Amino acid sequence: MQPSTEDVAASDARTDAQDDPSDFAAYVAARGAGLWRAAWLLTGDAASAEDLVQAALARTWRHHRRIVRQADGSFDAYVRRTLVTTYLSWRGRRWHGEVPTAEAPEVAAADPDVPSSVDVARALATLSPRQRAVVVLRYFEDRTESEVARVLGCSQASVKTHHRRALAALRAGGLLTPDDADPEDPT
Amino acid sequence: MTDRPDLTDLLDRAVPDPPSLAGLAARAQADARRARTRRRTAVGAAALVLVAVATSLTVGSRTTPPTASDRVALDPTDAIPCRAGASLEVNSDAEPVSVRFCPDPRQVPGNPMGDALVPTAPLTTDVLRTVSELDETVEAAATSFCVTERSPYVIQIGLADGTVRRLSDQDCGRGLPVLLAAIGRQSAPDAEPSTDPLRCDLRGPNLRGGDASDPPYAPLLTLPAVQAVRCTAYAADVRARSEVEDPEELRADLLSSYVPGMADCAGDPRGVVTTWALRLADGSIHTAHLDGRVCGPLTIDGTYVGLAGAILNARTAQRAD
Repeated sequence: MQPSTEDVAASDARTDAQDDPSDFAAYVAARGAGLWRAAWLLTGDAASAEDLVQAALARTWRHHRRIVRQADGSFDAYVRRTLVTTYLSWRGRRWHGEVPTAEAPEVAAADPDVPSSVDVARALATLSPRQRAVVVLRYFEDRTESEVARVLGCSQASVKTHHRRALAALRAGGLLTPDDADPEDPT
Repeated sequence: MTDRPDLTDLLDRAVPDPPSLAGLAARAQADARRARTRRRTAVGAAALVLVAVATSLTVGSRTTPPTASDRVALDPTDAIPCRAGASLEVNSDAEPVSVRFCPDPRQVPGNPMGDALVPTAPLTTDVLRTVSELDETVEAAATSFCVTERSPYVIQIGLADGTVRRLSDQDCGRGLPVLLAAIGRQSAPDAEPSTDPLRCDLRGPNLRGGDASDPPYAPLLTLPAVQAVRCTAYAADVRARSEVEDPEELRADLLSSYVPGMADCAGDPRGVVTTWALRLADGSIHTAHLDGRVCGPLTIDGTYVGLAGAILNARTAQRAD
């Protein structure tokens, strides 16, 4: 006899009760804002960023207790990796070309020479999902090329290519000047 | 006029303050529970389909290829057909239920998709569990689970809804499938049983080839294990040695219980160092080494595989329950 959905749910609840959810909640409380910021750069709007963080946490929660035993910060790295891979997996499902609007709630920078949040979001929206992920990982999360390659599951050569094309697109869109962010020495 | 900030500054300045994230952890947990219930329900439904198919068909009268869910119960030594043209990216949440190692057409000209090799039962169990656990990354970027040109196999994962996910791409070659492809060669004739005792090599790994970030291209533990011993060393030179009850389950755990990445932690001098010696079906002896003092890097025959401490400990503990 197959277990009913209720039986499975009850079993899940028993298992979940042993997973020390308070630790997980503490992790989310400590790192949630940082995850949301990275998610905002990936998605371009606040609601999608929150959805993305929630989805990444849902996918990683069941591994929390196991991985956190290492006490080496690897759970946070795992969540951040999942955040990016979840974003990439959603590209064909949820975000059919996001278009940041001028009415975004973010406050524009006072200095006209400094691009506003809307300008940045609009520029990032011109990138492919992988190009965008490379930019966020390289410049916002300060990851090395090899780390980005590991997160995206591709070669460093692919990362270089995405990186170069992303910067070219950002220059073409006016967010960067021709002198900004040399792909060979991005830091 | 202000100097134009660099891209890092631009991104930092652009990100608005996050909203209140109260309740986010609880919502994520609720989502995870719902997803797990859906997967289990799908597996239950697939099992019912399997029973129905098994009772209504005989092997001799079968005229159509078996579905993916049929293949769950196949003898691991059977050869089963690969599915040509399987989709690289499958938008399906169905549970992975079967694994096949399919000859890569680039390696076997004129034989685009021949009979597949199916892993042994413990390997199949672990491969499916690993794929399921890492489903978010498979789903997100199938290219992260790919086989390089050096591999003779393409990996096909059969899903409970009958679709097949093909894990192959020439553009990358890091991670799980490289190891999985390596275990496809398991049909060599068995050697004469050996009575020689196995000894652990406690000297630690002698890493071969490049830095530890290199993917493990070399085939590792490519035949079923017939004997294994486990040796542990603690900080105060306390050592223990034990025979492994099921060597093939150990081989399966070693080949699938890791995540790609570099050791990057403060370390724990009190960590346990574990060494295994395995004798494979051809009589060859191999060594695996897990260093619990430095984040749990796993090496097999001197080749760095990945970080395996927490996962491998959890699995071996689960096996012991």
